[in-house]
Amino acid sequence: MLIWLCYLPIMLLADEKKDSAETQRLTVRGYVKYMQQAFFVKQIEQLQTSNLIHNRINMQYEINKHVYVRTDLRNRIFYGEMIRQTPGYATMLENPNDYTDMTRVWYNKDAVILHTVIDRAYLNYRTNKLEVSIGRQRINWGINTVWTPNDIFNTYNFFDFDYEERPGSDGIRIQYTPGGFSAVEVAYKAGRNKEEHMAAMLYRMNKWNYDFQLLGGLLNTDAVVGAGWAGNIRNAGFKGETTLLKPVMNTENYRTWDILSTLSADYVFKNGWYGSVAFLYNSAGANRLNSIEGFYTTRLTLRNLMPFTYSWCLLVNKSFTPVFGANAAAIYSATSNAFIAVPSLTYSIADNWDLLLTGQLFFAEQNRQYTTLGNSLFLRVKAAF
Amino acid sequence: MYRMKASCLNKQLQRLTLLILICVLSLLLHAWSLKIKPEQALNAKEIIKKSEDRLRGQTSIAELSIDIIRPTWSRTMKVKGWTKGETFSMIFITAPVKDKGTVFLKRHKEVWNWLPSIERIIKLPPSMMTQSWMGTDFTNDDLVKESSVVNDYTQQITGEAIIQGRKCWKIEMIPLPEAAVVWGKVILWIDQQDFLQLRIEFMDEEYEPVNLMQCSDIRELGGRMIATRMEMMPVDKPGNKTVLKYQSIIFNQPITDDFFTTQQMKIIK
Repeated sequence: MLIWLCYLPIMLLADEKKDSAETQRLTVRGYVKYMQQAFFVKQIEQLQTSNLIHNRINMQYEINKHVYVRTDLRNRIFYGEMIRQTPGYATMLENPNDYTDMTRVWYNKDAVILHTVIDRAYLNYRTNKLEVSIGRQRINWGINTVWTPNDIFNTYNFFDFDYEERPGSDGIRIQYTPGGFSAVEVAYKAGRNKEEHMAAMLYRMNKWNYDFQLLGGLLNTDAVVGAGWAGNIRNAGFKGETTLLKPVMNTENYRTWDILSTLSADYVFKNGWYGSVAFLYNSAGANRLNSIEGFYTTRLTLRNLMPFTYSWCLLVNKSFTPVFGANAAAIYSATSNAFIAVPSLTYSIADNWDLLLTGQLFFAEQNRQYTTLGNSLFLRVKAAF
Repeated sequence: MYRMKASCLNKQLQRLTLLILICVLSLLLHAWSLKIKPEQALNAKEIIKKSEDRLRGQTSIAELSIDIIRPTWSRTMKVKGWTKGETFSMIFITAPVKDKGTVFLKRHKEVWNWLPSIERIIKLPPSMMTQSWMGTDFTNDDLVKESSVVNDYTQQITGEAIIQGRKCWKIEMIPLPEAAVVWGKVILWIDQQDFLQLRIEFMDEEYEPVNLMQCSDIRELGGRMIATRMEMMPVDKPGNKTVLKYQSIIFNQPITDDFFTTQQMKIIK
């Protein structure tokens, strides 16, 4: 509501200027989704369900050809027995690390939660070679499609597939692009205390048909350096990313550099099948998988990108018709023989309507027994506007 | 998250050939649109080669819609495309709204995809370029290898016909034995006045018709007479077709190479 009020004068202003042949300066887009989740461990009788109605609104207002303001918000209504049975569900939706609090729980009673978060709110200034963004924004430095250790400002949570936009970071980003393919970026993310600040620099370039990047900086209490590339070997895509972390503040226990490194290759076969293989090495991997809760934490850190030292992912994808497709991912780690299967079916109901049926099935060895750790099924309808 | 990306990939697979599509078709259009004065002595190869020779070193900026039509449903996509020669192309999706803002950039062999929803550029494997476009009835061979019509086939004028009131040459093309092409035979009807390809029949090795392409709505666009509507129909699937319609096209407006960069992908509209 607040955000609409903020936009009201701008919209009125825009309205007044209609006569002066102004182009459309305010764009409002977004979607509405309804998703049903079903979760069970072993017995299907113990099935728990939850429902989510999710609305996203992206607003951009161009003040002039160099400056725009962007505000995105997501409104969600959660309800169902999983909400009832999970104490503090609403608190889990908060992000205590944000410098500014832009979340609001409007209603939290009788297993119904109404929640709003503004995950983008920034001012952007752009000239031919320089771009400056101030406010809550997405700083996305990842290269790969499965694991992205270079994405230091906002580590992807694998299983939070319903949040493709990812949370924003409160900070400042300056991008300087002398040539079309080479760029220097400096980014700072404000923290609530001195251990939560992030500041980093990135340099990217394109050479020998490869994209390269180098980064370095301070990530909370760690020094961080990283590098990545995206290129190809013959007709297959070939990408890699490595990030090294070492605590430099509050170093009570000496800790050496942790390394996260990923390699991936992908290829499209003549019959239309897409295949991708990715490997992740995480020296900080705890190599334990006692529960799957870790996969559902709202905020991952780089060190728990995956809980294992070595992880593999195989991904296949095929469009059977222009409106119907399937994809499947299999993640495997020799640690506890952990295996995660993620099959999905997608169907386009109409030009702007999509249906998704997907599952997340977790298996691992526990107490010398191979067992299922949990199964989730999701059915989602999405309408974009 | 990665499943989200996987479903994006699904779409990428469907859309990527748009790059090829736009690149080649607009260039073809361009070629077709060049008003070549009828010359009596042209042979089949020369007729086609005259078009081919005019494919290079030109730019185009086009807006077009693509309708995929099936017996029980249809989908429409609208795109804006910029091309420069065969080396550079950029595609901006304007509809449907769920995909609006998605951009593809092709530069030599490299291909990038800007996904505004996740605010990221993803580099795509070159093999995506050899992928046939699942969504439409255009196959990769129709598109990418158009330039091979001169080199991979023998061409022969076999007759004349009137199509849409225009006098056309009928040209039969048979692939050379060593040519790596899908078709067993291709028959083209090329308008003698404006060199527009008005009808193309694609046949398999038994000379059975597979696909039929028809071009119509000839009008002046971008200062030239062009066929603004192209229809591709698989012969054995009645009710299936893909229709490509040009809303606008601008030829030979200078575009610098710097336009075709990852930086521009995020800015263009």
